[in-house]
Amino acid sequence: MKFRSSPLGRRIGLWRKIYARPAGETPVKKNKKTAVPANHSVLFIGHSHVSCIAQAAQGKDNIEVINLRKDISEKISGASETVAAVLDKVTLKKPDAVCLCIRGNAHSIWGLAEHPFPFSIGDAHYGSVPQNGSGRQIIPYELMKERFEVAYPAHFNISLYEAFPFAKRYCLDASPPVADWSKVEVTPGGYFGDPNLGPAPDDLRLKLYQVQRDVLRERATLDKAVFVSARTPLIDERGFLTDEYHDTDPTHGNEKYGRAMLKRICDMVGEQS
Amino acid sequence: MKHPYIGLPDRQFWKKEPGIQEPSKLDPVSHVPFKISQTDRIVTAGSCFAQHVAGFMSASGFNHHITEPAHPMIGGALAKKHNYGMFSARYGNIYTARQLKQLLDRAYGRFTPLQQVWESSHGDRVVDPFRPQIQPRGFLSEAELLAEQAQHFRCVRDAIEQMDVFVFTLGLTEAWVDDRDGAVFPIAPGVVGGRFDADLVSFRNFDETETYDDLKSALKFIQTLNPDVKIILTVSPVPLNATYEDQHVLVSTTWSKSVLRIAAQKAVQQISECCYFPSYEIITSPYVRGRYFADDCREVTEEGVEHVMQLFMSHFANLQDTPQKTDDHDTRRHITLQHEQKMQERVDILCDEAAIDNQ
Repeated sequence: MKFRSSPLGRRIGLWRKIYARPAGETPVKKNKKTAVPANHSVLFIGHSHVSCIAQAAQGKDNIEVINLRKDISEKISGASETVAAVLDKVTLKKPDAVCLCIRGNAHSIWGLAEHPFPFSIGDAHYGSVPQNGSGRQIIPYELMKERFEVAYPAHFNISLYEAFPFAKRYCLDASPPVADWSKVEVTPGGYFGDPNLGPAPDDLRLKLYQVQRDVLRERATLDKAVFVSARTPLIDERGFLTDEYHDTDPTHGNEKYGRAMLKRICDMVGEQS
Repeated sequence: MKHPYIGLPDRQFWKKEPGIQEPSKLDPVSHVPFKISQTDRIVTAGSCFAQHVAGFMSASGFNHHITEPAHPMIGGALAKKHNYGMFSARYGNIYTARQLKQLLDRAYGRFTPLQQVWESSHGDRVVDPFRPQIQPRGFLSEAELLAEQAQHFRCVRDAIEQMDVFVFTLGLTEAWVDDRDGAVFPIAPGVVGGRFDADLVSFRNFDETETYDDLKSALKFIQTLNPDVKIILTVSPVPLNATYEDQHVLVSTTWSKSVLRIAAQKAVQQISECCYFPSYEIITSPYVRGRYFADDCREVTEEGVEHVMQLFMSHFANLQDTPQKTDDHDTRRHITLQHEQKMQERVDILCDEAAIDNQ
């Protein structure tokens, strides 16, 4: 509560209001039914962040999920090889919609745990987040954004979309970070990062996620895809993934999260058909 | 018959310069008052040509002292694109002596210009009027710009106070000045950001007295902060890209370079531990027959830069010194790579775990 009344808390509250409905996303009327319209087929392609969708979609014939990491050899490199492998693997040859969720963990790699050389990211209101004077090296926002763009090559997504020329295009955001560091500490494989460094500040983790999302959203717009990211009640007032929606690890949504996102996307596909 | 030229060294006679027969043998460097060891921290600044000097320092085993590196997470190509490591700190090109003086004044809190931001060319970002091209996509806001600028000034102060050798390349005399407080911009408002307002900004072409006064003031200030620093001055051989004087750009170039050369020479004569290195003369001399200029007759060729820097090396390098290049940035990058690999592995583990859960 103290946080909420702080300038940063208010800023993040504003941020949440702005981003609760991502730009580019078509407002969807409240769907009275929870069932996915059976006549619309949706193909999800992605990495670890489609696992929760796969869990949620079990038993639904009109939903197919291809986990590139699990279903397609990780040894395949390059967009054209990946597209060929997906086309070979996919059952829904002509889905109504394709929803991509490619990669999406860079924000965690760079900022889940504290970095050996602590940094902050440029911010329009505060100068930087965490704020200047924290002894951190400021990475200007646009530079950080370009770093994400390098990490997420643009041609990969468009190649996959173009493999399904008649499908509507959606881009699913990676799930937001979790706030609770204790969840981070119990990750598989032991302590996350250097135990002497501890967690990255909450506002930095959110900021990294925001920058990543800005990149993914812009990419989606260029790809003529609707960008879909989590909103309340999946996220808390600051923008962190709420407890009931995160998996046993700190970087992915759980099956309940998958159900919520699957429903939203299917509703959007139905509305837009 | 006796006359005063008898017995003078060959270098003082045009026809005895080996460069007449072989341009690459031109060596107009007569005497250097000090040597540079490979552990000496060298700080570079100046105009476009100074970028060549800085690049050579970084690549040659000299200790080009970078106090404002990109965060090691950023990576080499992106860091270069955003002008990290181009000079010791991220100040961009410093064309005029007045600009150098004001950079120091700003970094040490002695001068705060009224004009703090310019609107970017596209209008959706802001740029720093004193280094308008430093951030290719600009800054989000004045707040971000000023936060980053404060960090930049810390790095400038570190560079000035830690350096052993300061290499400054004088580039221009023409500048655009804010009439309200005298702040000098490196480029006219409106070219790459900001808006040109003739009521606020005026053209100045600093003469030899003004240029020398500014240079002396800047170098003296540096020496008060760092009394042991050695100073090398050069003049950029790169002609003006454009002149605002109502005359041919070549005529303005000659005037401008003459002013800079005089100011540099006066500084050498008046300031201790300060010498001149003839980059300008090497590139523009008749001995090399224009071959060191690229097809546009302006940019200096790689061969020209190499000639200059080989002479710099042969005259200034203390080769008896044991090469001990200490690059903090390399260490930082190595630690960061290790960290990111570890974090990638952790995230991969999570991804694998998530996949297993789904089966």
